[in-house]
Amino acid sequence: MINYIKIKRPFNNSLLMVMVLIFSISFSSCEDYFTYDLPEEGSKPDLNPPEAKFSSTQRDGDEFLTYEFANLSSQATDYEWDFGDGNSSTAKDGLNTYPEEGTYTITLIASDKLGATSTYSEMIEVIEPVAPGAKLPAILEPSFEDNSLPDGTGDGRDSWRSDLGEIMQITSGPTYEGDQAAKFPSDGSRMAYQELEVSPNTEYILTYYYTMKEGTPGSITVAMLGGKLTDLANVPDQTLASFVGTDISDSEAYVKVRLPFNSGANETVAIYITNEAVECRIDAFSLELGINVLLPPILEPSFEDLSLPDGTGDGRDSWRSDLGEIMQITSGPTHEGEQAAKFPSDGSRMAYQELVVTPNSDYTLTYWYTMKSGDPGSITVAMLEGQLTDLANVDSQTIASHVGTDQSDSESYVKVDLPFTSGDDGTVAIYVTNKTIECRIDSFSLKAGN
Amino acid sequence: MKEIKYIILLILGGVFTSSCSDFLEPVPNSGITTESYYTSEEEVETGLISIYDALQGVNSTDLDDNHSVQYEFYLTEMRSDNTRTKSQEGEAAQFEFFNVEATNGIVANYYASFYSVIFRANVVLANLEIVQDPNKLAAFEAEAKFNRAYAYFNLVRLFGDIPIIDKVISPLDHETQYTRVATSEVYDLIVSDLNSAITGLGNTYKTRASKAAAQAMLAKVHLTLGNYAQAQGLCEDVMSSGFELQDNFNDIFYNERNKEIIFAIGYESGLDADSQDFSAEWMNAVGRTSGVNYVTNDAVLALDEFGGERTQYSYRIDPSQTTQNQVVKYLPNGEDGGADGKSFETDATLSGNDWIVLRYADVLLMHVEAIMAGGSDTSFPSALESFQKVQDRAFPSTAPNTKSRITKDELILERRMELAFENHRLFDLIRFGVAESVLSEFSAANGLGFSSTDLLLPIPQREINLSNGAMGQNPGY
Repeated sequence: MINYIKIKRPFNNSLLMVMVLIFSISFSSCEDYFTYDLPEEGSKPDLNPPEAKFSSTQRDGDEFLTYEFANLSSQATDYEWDFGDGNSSTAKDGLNTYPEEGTYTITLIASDKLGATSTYSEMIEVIEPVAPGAKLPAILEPSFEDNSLPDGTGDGRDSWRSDLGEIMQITSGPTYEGDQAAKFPSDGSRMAYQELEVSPNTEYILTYYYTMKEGTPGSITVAMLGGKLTDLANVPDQTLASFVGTDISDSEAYVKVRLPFNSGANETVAIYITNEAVECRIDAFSLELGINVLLPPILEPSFEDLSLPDGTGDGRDSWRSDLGEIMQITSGPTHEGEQAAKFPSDGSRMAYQELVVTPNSDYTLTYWYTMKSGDPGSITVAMLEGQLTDLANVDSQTIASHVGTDQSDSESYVKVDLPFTSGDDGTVAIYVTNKTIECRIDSFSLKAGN
Repeated sequence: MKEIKYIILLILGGVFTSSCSDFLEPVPNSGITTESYYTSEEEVETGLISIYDALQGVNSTDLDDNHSVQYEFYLTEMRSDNTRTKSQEGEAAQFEFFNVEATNGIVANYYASFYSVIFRANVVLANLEIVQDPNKLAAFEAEAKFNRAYAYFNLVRLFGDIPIIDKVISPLDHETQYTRVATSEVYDLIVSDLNSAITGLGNTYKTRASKAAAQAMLAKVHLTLGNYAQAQGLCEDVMSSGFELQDNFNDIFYNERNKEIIFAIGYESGLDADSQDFSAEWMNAVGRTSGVNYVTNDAVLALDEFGGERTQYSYRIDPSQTTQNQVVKYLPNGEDGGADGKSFETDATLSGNDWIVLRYADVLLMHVEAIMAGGSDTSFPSALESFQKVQDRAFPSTAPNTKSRITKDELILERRMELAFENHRLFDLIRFGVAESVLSEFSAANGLGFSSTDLLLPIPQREINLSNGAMGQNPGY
């Protein structure tokens, strides 16, 4: 009996399950059960449509007509660029060189594979960037005149006030120019302060005129400060340049001061004026740009022994070149010092020195020469552009030269100013040769400007 | 039961007189929690030190540990034209191919690591009221803010808009954690933190924050933002703080904490807790990988032509695989690895080489960059002087290497030569505005997949997922 049940029960259960299955199938439609409702194209909404976006960057320097466009679109797979000048592209990032300066509209169409698109446009103005020149700010109320502010108002010292101290007084005479000047009483209790917006690292020259009462020793100090002054204790740290005027010879006569300074790491500088012990007047401030070029030292400029920066040298070590034999040294006559350079009459010697200068800038080379009387000869000083590697190139590399032919007095030196403009290279060379007659040369110097 | 009202009164009295927070939230006396820990100055200082621990990262092969700056080269140098993996496959190779995925574990690791630095800095800032000595308080605040700024500066350059967390937040503060804030606001926080750091710090340490480190970092921040005059002034402050170039280029890396180092992450060799393994990873199958941060041919060619003395101390031919080139700036514990270049006497995976974040040559070149002020060249004497100092060490045989003008391209090249494999290259290219042109050319020449959106990394997918839709992804991912 027990065995029978064990066999029989599973059979009954299986039968029951089959019947249930048949029963349930008969209620569901076969067609629905075995096929799927496939989604048609576009039946699902595009939940992440593309969004077009780009940014543009102009290339530097000579490549200013070329723009790079960074594609910042999201959820997009395909791109269509219209650069606004007829050019187009389907690359992800855009790159285009425009034919000329002008205004262009760039359009980016970003799309995805569902056909959704997004369009973004931006207008650019293609212009050659100009190197910004150095700023030259106007000093306000420079001569302390009434109503001299740009809007026609002002009491002559409104631009010179500061919370850090009492403002100086105004005097009606003596002045250097106009009707008024600034006056600082002898107790040194007053000050003047004005901030100026400048370009960093730039050479400027501040010019002004001062006078002080006769007799009593004292001083008037004009300091150029880097940055804004917030505490008088910082004046020494912030001073870029200063001039202490002490001329008490004539209270009626103004003395001119030129105060050069470099603005350094500052976009703001300030004029700060104080005095001590004596009544002072100051007037007629002006600001000009200094000369912003490299001024390299000429080594052994007067051909003296031991005159190199490290205290060594035979007076001509800096003038040697592989291209020819070095000139000689003479002990007299010289223009200054103990020695000068000497070029014997056979014209076999030369002198050569390279200098690193600011490209495309004006300079003046100054030197002194003399030569023996007799046969007509010459001494030539040439400024060459770049390094000289072959004497055959001297002519093509010459940017300025002077041929000295003054044979009137072999004992007296003649001064020569040789102006030149440096080339793109930034390296120039002094090249000295002579012809037919013994010549001497001495005292080289270089200054900026012509 | 008439005493019942007294009993009730007694119970109620007891309930009302006990402070709820003490009563219901007892402080466990068998363990330390953040809330109970900070009770003295010394303990706040240990909080400060823990920030450097977060910067060091964990030296392990477990990808779930925060590896911090030990992983930085993947995200920076290997995403530039300087380095790549040796095998050119796997997750690490996504960087060199410019096809980084939002799921990249190395990116997520760095992101988490640097937010951990920020968290630890915020913990110190939240516990400053414990510090009594006003000088120490200012110094602690400055040091925490320096590190927070350092972390944010790297994150904002790598990821763009990122969440700003400037205080200790609760895990439920969803909004702060997952709101991407515009980069300009992140930079505002960085600048203000670094200015506090400059005011509050002195120049005592090289592996902890210092005034000069804060000045140099702020200079770089201002260069990034285009505030050139401020950057120049800060560089000049550092230049008058007594730092000097090492005479021998190699000494920068193996004469640790020398006069040229302004800020470095300190490591100690042989210690699990304080060593690093990037030195080993850069060798041939010495670390977990078969070799990463291998030098690209592009970098080899540039170094050979323009590196001068620096070339031999920057890369070498891999002795056991001579078609490949390895970085030699951070050889494990200074060992060269013998004839095959991978046999080290000490444990290379427990290396002690400090990671240099800021050094003086970087500041000198930043000084030139500040004076150039976004222009295409400069001839200002002070810039020429700084540039020449760097060049004279690299080219001693032609010193003094005077120049009359430095172009922007020359400056970018000089930075690449001087600072190769020190994780500067990518940031330099971006800062100078040439990343798109340089990297697309490099990518085209080497069959890589660069496009402009690769200049930002993806926000880690994990963060996007946790944000429940609050965080958007960077374009291109």
